[in-house]
Amino acid sequence: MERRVVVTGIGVVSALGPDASSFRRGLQAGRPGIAPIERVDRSLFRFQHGAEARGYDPEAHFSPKALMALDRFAQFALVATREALADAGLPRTLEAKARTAVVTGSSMGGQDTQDAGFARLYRDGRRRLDPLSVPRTMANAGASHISMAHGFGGPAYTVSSACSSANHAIGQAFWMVRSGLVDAAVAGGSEAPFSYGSLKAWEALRVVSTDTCRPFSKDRSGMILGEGGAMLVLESLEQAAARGAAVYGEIVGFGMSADAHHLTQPSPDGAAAAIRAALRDGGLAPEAVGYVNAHGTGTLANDPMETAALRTVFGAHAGRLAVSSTKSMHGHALGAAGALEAAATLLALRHGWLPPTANFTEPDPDCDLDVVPNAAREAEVDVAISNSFAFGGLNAVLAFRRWRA
Amino acid sequence: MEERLVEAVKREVAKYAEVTPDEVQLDDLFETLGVDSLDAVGLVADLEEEFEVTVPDDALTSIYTVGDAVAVLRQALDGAEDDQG
Repeated sequence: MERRVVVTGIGVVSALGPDASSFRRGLQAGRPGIAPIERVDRSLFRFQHGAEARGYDPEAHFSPKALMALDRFAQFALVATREALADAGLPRTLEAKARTAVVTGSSMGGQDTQDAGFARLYRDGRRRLDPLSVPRTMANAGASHISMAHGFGGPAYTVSSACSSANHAIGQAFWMVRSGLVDAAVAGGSEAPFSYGSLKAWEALRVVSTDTCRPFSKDRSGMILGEGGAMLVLESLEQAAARGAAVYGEIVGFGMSADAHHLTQPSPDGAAAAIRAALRDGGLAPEAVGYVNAHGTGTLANDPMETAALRTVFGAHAGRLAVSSTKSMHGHALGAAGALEAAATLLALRHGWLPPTANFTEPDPDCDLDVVPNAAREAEVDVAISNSFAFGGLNAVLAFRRWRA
Repeated sequence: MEERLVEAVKREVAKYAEVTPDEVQLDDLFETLGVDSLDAVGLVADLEEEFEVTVPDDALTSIYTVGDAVAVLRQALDGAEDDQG
């Protein structure tokens, strides 16, 4: 028999603050964490703004020795996990830990480490690298460190599917708990793309805005990169109920698809297929959905495509959906994006308000949805979905249900 | 040179053992200090850099104590001098 899966812990490090409560307050206030970039020399870039985790202090969380082994993206994974686990209060027996999975998403792995190492070789003419370069850079560093730090011995791995990584990670963890393969899971994603080489790669692609991220606005001009991490603690409802755990919400469906189309040009057919798959997986009628946390990158290509996909799946009901892009506040954190947005969606369902699309200026006829412009809205929504659509056409959608205690 | 060598090794070991250099003795076992094989690779790399020498891969496996690390490094330094001379 399939089990129900609930979320009992949330941890977040983001541009909105170093923990989940600052993240929640930022979203509710509709306050973007977008500012002039500080981690690299921004005078060398066409774009100037990013959503950096400015409130995050590595030394507040790790010893100097621990930091030697941790790239910034793995630090985010560990800090978010620590908060999520403290929040959930999972059972800590050996048996329980052996039946806990860890699935993390990362698009680019340890970019800070790779960037600094290559600069040393190519720019400085040095011949040696730090022996920890490989384990710091590996994309699975987050999952490995989480499992080691907390003794989780169940299935543990990392999914890398660009901007869909965290949704793929959470979705697979959800399926593992639902099927009974494990009783609990830590799932989410983390990313730290603010290094010189990685930002130059994004600059070359010409998708980053030179001012700010305005999803669904007529004058939108691209995405704003973000960094951070978010982790969820997933548990079978049975276990959560038996121990009287507080529940944020239920994960009810997960759907995946591939556009099989183009490297960077998204297809509404692929996006619609993933949304339909998530609804089908959760046994949900389209009319049950009240809120969509959009992929909503603020690029010229994504937002009309996503609007078209939602209209295809939801028909007339699309006009009744509230659709917002929280990337307008926490930026596009790539492999962490789906995790930040799952956290945003769960907090919205739990607290009875919908996060806005910030920086909204002017409606675009090609994005004619209720995008919750600029101010959070009080609303009791029962079912929400969260979309992630990656470069390379890989799509992953999660469906959540409000928890009624 | 010997004094500088011992001092540098103690300083590096202390960093990985998370103690002060005064607390490190030449006959201390890496294992007792909580310095594992990955730490050893790191500290030898730092010392290679500082003294501009190369420690061969197989020499690493012969390091059990702080004194062993000094000996391996000394050998590498002597080898470097021989090459020059």
